[in-house]
Amino acid sequence: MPALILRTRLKIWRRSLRARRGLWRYGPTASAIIYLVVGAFTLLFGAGIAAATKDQYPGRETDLLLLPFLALLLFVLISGISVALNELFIASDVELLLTAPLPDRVLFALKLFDTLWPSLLTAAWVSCSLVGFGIGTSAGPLFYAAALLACLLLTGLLTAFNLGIVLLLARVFPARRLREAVLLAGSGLGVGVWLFWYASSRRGLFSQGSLDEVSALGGWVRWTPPGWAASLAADAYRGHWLQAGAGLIALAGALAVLSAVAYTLFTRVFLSGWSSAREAGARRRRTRTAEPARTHSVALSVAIKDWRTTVRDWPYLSTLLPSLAYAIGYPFILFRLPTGHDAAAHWLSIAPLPIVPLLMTSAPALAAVSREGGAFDVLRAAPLGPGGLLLGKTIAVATPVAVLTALAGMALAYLHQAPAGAFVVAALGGAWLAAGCSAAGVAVGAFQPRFDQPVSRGRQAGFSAGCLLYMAVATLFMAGSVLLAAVAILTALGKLGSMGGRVALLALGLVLFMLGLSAVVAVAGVALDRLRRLLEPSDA
Amino acid sequence: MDRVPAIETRGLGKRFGETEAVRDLNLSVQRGEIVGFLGPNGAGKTTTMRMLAALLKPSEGTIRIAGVDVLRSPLEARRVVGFVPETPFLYEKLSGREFLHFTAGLFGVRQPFAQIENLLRLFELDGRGDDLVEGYSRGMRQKLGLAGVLLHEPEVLLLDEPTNALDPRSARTVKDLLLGLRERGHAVLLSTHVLEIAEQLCGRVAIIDAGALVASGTLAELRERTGAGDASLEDVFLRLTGGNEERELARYLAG
Repeated sequence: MPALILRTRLKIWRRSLRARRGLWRYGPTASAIIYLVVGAFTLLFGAGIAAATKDQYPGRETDLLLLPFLALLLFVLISGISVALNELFIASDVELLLTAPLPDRVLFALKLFDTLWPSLLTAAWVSCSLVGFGIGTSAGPLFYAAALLACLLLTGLLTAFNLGIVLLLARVFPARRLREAVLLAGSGLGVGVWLFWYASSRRGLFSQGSLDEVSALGGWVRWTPPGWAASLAADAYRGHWLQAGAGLIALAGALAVLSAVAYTLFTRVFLSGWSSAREAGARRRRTRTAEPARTHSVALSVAIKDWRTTVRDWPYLSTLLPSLAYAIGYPFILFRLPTGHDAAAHWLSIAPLPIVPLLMTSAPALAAVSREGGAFDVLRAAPLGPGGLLLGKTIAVATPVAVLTALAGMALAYLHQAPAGAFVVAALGGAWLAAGCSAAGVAVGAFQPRFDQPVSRGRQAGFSAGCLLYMAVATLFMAGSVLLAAVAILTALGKLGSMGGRVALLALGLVLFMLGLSAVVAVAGVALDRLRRLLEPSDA
Repeated sequence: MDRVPAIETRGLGKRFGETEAVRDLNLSVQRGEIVGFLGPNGAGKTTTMRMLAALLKPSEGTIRIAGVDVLRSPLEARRVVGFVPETPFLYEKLSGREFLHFTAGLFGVRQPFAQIENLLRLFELDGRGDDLVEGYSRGMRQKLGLAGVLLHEPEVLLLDEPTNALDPRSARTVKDLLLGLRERGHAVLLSTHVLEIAEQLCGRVAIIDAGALVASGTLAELRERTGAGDASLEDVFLRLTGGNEERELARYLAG
């Protein structure tokens, strides 16, 4: 029976791949290539770090090896809980499997497999850094076997832990809501880790101080599974086979115990959690919003609808958090511009501001049209023109981005004690740049929207051609505006040398400004044509 | 202008690759008329409805809705059409009331407050109007979809299985509502598998099978044409769509 189910799933997967059209057909291949490249990079990175620190910090292998296992813990816990919730309580096949005469152990094994395999991809990636460590430190062949086994056991153990936790939690909280909360919290945690990483890397990630912090952390986690896994790999590296064997037994034992606990919970509480997940649909989630006395215009109606659905869609919000963190993190952390006491130095504080709308806009703007999903037919059935739709989507994205950019600009000006004029320029200029980036992003996102992706995350363009095109258009749009603003400010401060130079810069600014504006208008034109065709009666 | 049929198709056809979903369909619905659109599963009813609602492009033929050429002026046609698919298009993260206000914005309904509250009350959704749609049952979704369509008072209503998933009281409400709309001169094309409803509400029925119109007329005309005496619409339908073999098979399987 499990073989039949797996064969059927394989068949469905193959057919869904064949059904892909255009560039989307190459998505899985591109993902595989990216995965391999990231794996190779991780391997080289691990080898380089291990080689560089081998002589510098002898005897601290456990500290170094702890890092990949902690990364595995973090990734598997963040993604695994949401995967487990989905596979156990939300996936469409659960109902069918439950109605089939399948023994509990088979159903559990199937769900364990479904939950495990995405984590195995993470484990394979983490293994690259362990292999890199082995290469960098010229470890013996048994180190590789021990490290990879530790990685595999830890992954299985964490997956069993996730299943157990999810089975318990789903008895209390509806699975769907829980998954939304986990995605949002996981995204927040990911952003926190990124900021920590970023702050550490500014100091030197593998400096003595950083390693001391890892050691201190190691003290805390020594008696937890990642600590056992790190000790097992380190003992194998040193040739301490007795200790390595003890680590192996501890890991394997913990895996067995947690799997048994998860299976017991599965047999006892799975059905009640599953029923609770079904009932959740009937549970009320109330909201009361004030409606205006008169109906809004079509564009504003679309924008208001988007704002409302966005703030209630936690999985989607979780996808926006990273770009928000990058957008705010970079100008406040990355750029340490030269400071001084003259007016020009204070004005310089708002120079990194264009990064805010550029990074913040990409995710919501590129996904703005695709996000409609199946509900796009609501718009198609209405007398809605492409202009109203594009304008509505742009307003929906531009408004929050403009507000956040203006606030970020004023915060930068405040932090660097910039003159009052800088606050005005930051607020108005930020809003202008946000509007341009949003228009460009929404337009590019409308070129080839995908309404068939079930998950909001999948509808974002990511590092696709669309994302690159957006970056190019938005950068061009901002270049002219920023140059013109800089010329105006420096002229007012009397810092812009001769008249000839001033005129040349002004002319360059104007040319860039016109080019940028034209680029935005051009992509908007293409988007309007594309939306017009999408809104018209379709062929299929 | 009143003599112009509310719905008129000529030689309407739709192909999906090799499959001919609808062929040479000539259909006409007058104002103040409810026409039942019947056919077995996969006969082409939904495809036809989607073409009439200006969502799907026909491979051949013409469609005029209230005199408007749907292919040439789809936006204008959508202003006068209200289409409720079998599974209505809704936004999960909006409340029922918000969805209706959004629909009012899309269709340019100026002062929709009273109408929205009336529709929510009519469909017994007033107590759940502030709940998110994601918590609605299938029947409630169906009712919300209907309410959304009725908001702009379309001249032509295209309803694909509107009473599916409705409880008997709501189904009765919908039936009364459709009769009221007919009285007020609206045209309704009603696709349904519940032949009893078609018999009660529809002045005429059009039966489609394998993409082609096999019969059209009043029940009396269809009885006469099939020589079915005073048979029910179900019997007439089965004669026209060849369902008797399946009946025999069902009897055999039941032992």
